[in-house]
Amino acid sequence: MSLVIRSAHLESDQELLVDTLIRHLNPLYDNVRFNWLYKNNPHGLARAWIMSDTASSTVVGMAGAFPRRVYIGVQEATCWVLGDFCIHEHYRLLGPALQLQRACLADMHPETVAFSYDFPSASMLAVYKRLHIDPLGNICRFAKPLRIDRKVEELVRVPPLVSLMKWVGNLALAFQDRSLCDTGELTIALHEGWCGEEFSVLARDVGWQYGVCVQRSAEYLNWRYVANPLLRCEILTARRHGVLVAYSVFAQSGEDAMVMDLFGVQDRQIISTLVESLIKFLRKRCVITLSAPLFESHPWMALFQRLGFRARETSPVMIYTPPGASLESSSLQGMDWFFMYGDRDS
Amino acid sequence: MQDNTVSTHIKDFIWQHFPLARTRKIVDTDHLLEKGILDSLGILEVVMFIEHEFQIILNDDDLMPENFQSICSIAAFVQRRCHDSSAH
Repeated sequence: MSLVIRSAHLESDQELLVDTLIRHLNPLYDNVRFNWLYKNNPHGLARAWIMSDTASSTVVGMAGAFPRRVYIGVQEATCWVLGDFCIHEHYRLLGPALQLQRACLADMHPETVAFSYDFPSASMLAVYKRLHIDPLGNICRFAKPLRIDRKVEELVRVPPLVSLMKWVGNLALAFQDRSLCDTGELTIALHEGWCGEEFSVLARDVGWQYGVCVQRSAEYLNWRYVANPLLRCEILTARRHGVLVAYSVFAQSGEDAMVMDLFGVQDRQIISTLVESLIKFLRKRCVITLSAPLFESHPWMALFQRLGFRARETSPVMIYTPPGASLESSSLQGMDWFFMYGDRDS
Repeated sequence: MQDNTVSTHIKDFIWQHFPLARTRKIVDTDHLLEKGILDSLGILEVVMFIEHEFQIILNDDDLMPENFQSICSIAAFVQRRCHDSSAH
């Protein structure tokens, strides 16, 4: 076995990269996803690395890195979110994965990339452990049941009782939230079409207040959510006197929904009202569970808990700073991180 | 160190730390990855055990499937590395 790793060219290697992703990561990945994720990101072109076994002329795996412009307090920088890491099943041991990951990290130049972050799988966590990179912390999925239908169907086997219990249970859940949603002077509305300049203004005005936070410009939101070919995302906005003050991006999949992003001015009442409105809106759509993955230092975790969201499974988040970076891992670890589900790679 | 001693040490470790190995009563030639006895985190535990127990440092090139397929192949690999280390 003789493994070599090279940086990929997004145009000439596209076919090879997509084929590798289809074979070793997800059979549904295609050119549409590739063009969106690798080429159309307004924060910059993605990077990719290909690992091959020269002895057998086999493509062993690949890895990707996707740029994100971030605020680190008042500073601005570019970081990478790592993803699309996959290895041929015959080579799935630590050695090849370590070599590939080392090659990605070695290509991070501190003048252009401040740090990278990753949401690793259990297998990938072993790679990080071997590289002596510790988790920054955990992202936890908070979940709130909006309807009781699924639970009743699981537990009750007598058909006439099912409908009655669903009706009573759903009424009780809605009653618990009866005090929610006095929108006051806020106008809550489902956003239609592309995000305009007002989203960029909000990002510039408040983004730097949230520790480490991706710059949510209109261009970024349009790419990440509105033009996302993998997921249909919707945006609920909160405006005060016509001015955008907060928004929530969410995705509904069948009977469940996920808060992909929640951003706005640092005003608990506004954010709370927006989330309450989202709950009310999704309950009308018969959504059963609303989830909101939040990083452990997220400023609105307590707010979600107060609104009835409960902690569910957690998964680690890794950060890596290249040697010579102006901000070392230790300083980044002491900061608040405004990570939500939408900050993942895809 | 004798071949069978290395093999016994590794087998003991795997039996103690991976319940599936006990349940399935694996033998030295069983494929640990294909049988689902070890996953990547499991391999990492075995690697750390080898480094500590046999006082050898493994590099990325050592962590290849052919060296970790079975208790036999792990033992043979450890023997080779111990021999290389003592030769130097």
